[in-house]
Amino acid sequence: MAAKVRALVVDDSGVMRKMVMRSLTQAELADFEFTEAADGAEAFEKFKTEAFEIAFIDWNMPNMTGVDLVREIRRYEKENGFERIPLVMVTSEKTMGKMQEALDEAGADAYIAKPFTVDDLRAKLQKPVARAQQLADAGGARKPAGAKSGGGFFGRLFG
Amino acid sequence: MSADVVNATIPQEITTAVQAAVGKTFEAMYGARPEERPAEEIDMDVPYVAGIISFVGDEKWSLCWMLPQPTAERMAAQFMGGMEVPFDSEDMADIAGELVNILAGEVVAQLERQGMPAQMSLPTVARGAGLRVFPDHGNGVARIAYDSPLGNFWFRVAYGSDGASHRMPGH
Repeated sequence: MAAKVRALVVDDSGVMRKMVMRSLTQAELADFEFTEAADGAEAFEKFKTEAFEIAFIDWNMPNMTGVDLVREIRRYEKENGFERIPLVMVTSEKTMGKMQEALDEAGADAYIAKPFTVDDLRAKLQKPVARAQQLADAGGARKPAGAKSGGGFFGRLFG
Repeated sequence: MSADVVNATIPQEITTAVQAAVGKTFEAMYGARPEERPAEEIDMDVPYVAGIISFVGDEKWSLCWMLPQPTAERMAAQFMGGMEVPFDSEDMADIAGELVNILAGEVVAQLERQGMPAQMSLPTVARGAGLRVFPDHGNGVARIAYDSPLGNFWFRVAYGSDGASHRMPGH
């Protein structure tokens, strides 16, 4: 049986968080367990203290933009040797230059343009959600990148 | 149909971008394009919720999406998949802000295609009734009104070289 996929949903609008969670549930791409954050700073704190396999991040937020949050998450993953989790921008930005910045420079994996439908989610999120499912089934992303099942300190001790 | 410009001149690219974005966004969200109509035909002395957003770039201007109560309630319910959203609720404010945010993303894309790059602010929201606001000296204001199956609504485009073009919503 597939493991639950822990998803962090970041948006300063409570209504949009509800809508993202409801649409993802309706899309039936995975069995999600959602955690909400109302801005980038709160999201980053949660990311540091809790484990997630995927994050859905609004772009236009006060204090820390979604793109800045993506950069922080990637930096933190790298510093701690964690696996990269799929980061999906959920945005009303539609200019290609901005999208390229989020995807190429900051390190997001995909984006969903608002307004979106459940079918849009199914079409655009197959790959990132499949990767998140893989991470969930393997016990999460909080282990050194490249470590195999049975590897690492405990693997060597009991393997 | 051209926008109803109250005073001063607003660059044509801006009103054109707003009109194109309204048609495209509304159709994507609600399945049909709204119909533009003369602003003076719409009763604007009604309770409304307004989503407001500013743009900076080559030009400084702002956009206010005014949703009369019945229209706002219908649009919010549809936005939330049929769930009733009270007019005076926090969710309604969130939705008004989100709607203008989504629209503004399309406006920026339209402007970029016309060679006028712009960046948008975070949205703010106001509720009111019958407000009459006069623009700062030298600033321009345009009203663009629409009718739709969900009810009527209108936009207030405020343009000003000093960037202080939209201190509060109104018409």
